Amino acid sequence: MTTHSSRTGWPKGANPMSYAAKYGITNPSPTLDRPINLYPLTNYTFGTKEPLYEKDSSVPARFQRMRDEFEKIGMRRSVEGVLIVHEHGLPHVLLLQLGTTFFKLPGGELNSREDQVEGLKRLLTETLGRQDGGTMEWVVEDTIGNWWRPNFEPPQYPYIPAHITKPKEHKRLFLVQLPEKALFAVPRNYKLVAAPLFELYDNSAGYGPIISSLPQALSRYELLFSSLVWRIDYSRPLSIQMLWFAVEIVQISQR
Amino acid sequence: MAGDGVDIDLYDNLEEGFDQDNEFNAEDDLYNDVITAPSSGDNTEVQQQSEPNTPTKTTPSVTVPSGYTGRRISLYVGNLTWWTTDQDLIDGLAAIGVTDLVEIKFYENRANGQSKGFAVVVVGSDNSSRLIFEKLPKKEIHGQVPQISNCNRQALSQFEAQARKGEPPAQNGNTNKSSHQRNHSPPRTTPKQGFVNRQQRPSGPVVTGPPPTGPPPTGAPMMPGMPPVSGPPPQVQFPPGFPPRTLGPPPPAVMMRGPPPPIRGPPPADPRGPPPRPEWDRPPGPAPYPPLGPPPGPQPVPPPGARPPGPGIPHQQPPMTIPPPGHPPAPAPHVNPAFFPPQHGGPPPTMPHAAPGHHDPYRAPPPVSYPSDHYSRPPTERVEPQSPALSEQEFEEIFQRNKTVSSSAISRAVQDASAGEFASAIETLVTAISLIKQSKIASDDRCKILISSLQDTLHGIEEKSYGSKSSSRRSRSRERDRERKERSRSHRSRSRDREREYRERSRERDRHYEAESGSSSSRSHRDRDRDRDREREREYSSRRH
Repeated sequence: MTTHSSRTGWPKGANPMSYAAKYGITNPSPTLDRPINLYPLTNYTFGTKEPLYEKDSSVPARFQRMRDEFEKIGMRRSVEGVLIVHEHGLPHVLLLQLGTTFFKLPGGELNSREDQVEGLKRLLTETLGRQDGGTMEWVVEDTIGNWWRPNFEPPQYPYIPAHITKPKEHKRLFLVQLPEKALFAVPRNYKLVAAPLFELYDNSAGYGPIISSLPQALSRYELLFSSLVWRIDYSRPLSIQMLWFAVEIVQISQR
Repeated sequence: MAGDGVDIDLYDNLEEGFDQDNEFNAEDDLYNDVITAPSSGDNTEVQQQSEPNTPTKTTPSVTVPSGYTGRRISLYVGNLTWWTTDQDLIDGLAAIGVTDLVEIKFYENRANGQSKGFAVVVVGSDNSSRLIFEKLPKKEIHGQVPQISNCNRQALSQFEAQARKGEPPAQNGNTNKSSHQRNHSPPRTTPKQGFVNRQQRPSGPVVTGPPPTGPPPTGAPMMPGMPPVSGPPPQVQFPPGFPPRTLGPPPPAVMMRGPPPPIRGPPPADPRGPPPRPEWDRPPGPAPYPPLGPPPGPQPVPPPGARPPGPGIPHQQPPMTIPPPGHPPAPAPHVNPAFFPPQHGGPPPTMPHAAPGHHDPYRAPPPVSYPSDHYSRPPTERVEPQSPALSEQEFEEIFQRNKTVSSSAISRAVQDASAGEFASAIETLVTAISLIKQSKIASDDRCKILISSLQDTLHGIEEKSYGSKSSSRRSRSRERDRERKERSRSHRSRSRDREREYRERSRERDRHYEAESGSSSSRSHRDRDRDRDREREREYSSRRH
């Protein structure tokens, strides 16, 4: 499953071969095929940092705060990011695990009048950003879905029920394209897990309706499993680099 | 669970949601203070607070959760379409002159958020409440007249039932959430059994049939001996209680999804699970196939109404397919006669006499592996009821069988002998003899006659086999001895053999005598042998039986 990765490396500047390009379809609508590069989980390193606690200490407190804020600001706007890696030929979604049974996507609430993409990047950095001062590159270009909460209650639906004119919360899910390699710092009170799509599929009992429907939501993307990056450094001996490529190819073919 | 310093309770009940089918938030402690705003107390009762009426917000707002300290008078407003919004209600109330609306809260399906068509309206004064009672029913909202009532249990259940309406009448007992429906009233038990069973088998319940649910249903006169198939067939037979065609799977089921008790194991706690499935939890059981997505509202509006015939029709097939597969495994009375060919000899028309009956019409093969040429006759056998006792009939059967055996054995043996295959001929005859001897009626005279005739044939063939070989008797006898010894050795391993061995040994002895005494005495010896054989056989048989 070796494909040419594009963003960093060689051939420089080449776009990933999308379905349209491969099959010579000219001028396709940009949303018809949306190729997304995924990298192996092993490309990423995960460190830890101090705990990041929730704003609400209990469920009732949460809804009370929601009510209060609804009064003042109106509908709450939340954003969450879906970070995908791949392993064993299958996309995995990164989830934060609280305790043993609760999973959530990284993200949170937007401040009033904050732009949603900026807000998401802010929140992602707060949650998973590295501590050593390096910048995180988050690329947010795609919306995966919208969910609305019609009342001050747990249920959320991917539509606004007909009889609701003022939903209390609107949550937006974005696809976050990860760089080829990155370092993340995970707060100590969370565990970062990579859940394969089949684990989520049809498992709303385990993950809730939003996360368990991610496989469906992601299915529209053309996920490119980049594992070999043919980055040739012309300053180093070429033969050694070729050797490493060969090793990688062998490793991948043996999976 | 809370190992990391964060209170896990935050999300513990995240997906359990709020049970709206019960009395409005009264049961759920967790949400009591969330939903009933700071002013405590049960929303479902009319509040009788003595505080003065504080001016409330006049802007159209749905909820005044925090800070409202005035009176709260709650009413149910029902008979609304599912697309009637809170804004519609607000506008309607404003039009009748209600100015102190506090809160509107719709009752919804937990699983999909759809409105159940009724809501709790909280106003701040009795006057408003009176206005609503009097004037709102005169206004139509989206073509429907709202129904107003006080907040009490009856009204709630009535509205809930209305939300569920459209469900086939036979199952109104099934709206009970518990899965112990089988224990309910007997007349209902029948269809319910099947329904419940079907629900509990998520995978194609119809085809595999229901699990044995105990006693056959009460109303199953048509299925006397088929307990295993008792579930579905009665459903088929119960047209009054089972209108498969009108069975809209559940536009109503949508309404009933409120607190989904997972009757089945696999999609455990989640009410929704795979979308169609929870709709089965409400027992429109005969609709094992999930309807086309969550059907729309409970309202008697064409779109949902149009659906039921659709899914209803395929649903008919499953119940129908059950009876046919149900039949084959049915037990005794309807036994397929073809299963019992060998055991029924023809009765009477062909005589039961003991002649080595060549002329018998061939019957079905004996139940042993016999050289099978003549026994592959097409089943023109007579079906006779089996009775295990050694009755006259059975005796006759057995005797006829023995006769068949012997006659066919003889003819076969003669055939073989004329073809020169004496060994197989002899084997045939020997087998036949032992068969007859093993039968229950071997001691009967007629059987003995059979046996003796077989033995005669046997000896005849043996003679023939000796006669057919040319060289000297002695050598022949030696050959024969050798043959017999070999044969006896090879046959010794067979359990049926004792007799043959014995006979062979005796034959060997005969041959010796023959050889020694010459051919003239051979016959006499043979006669003697035959007698001896018979004696020995009788001994043998007496020993055996």
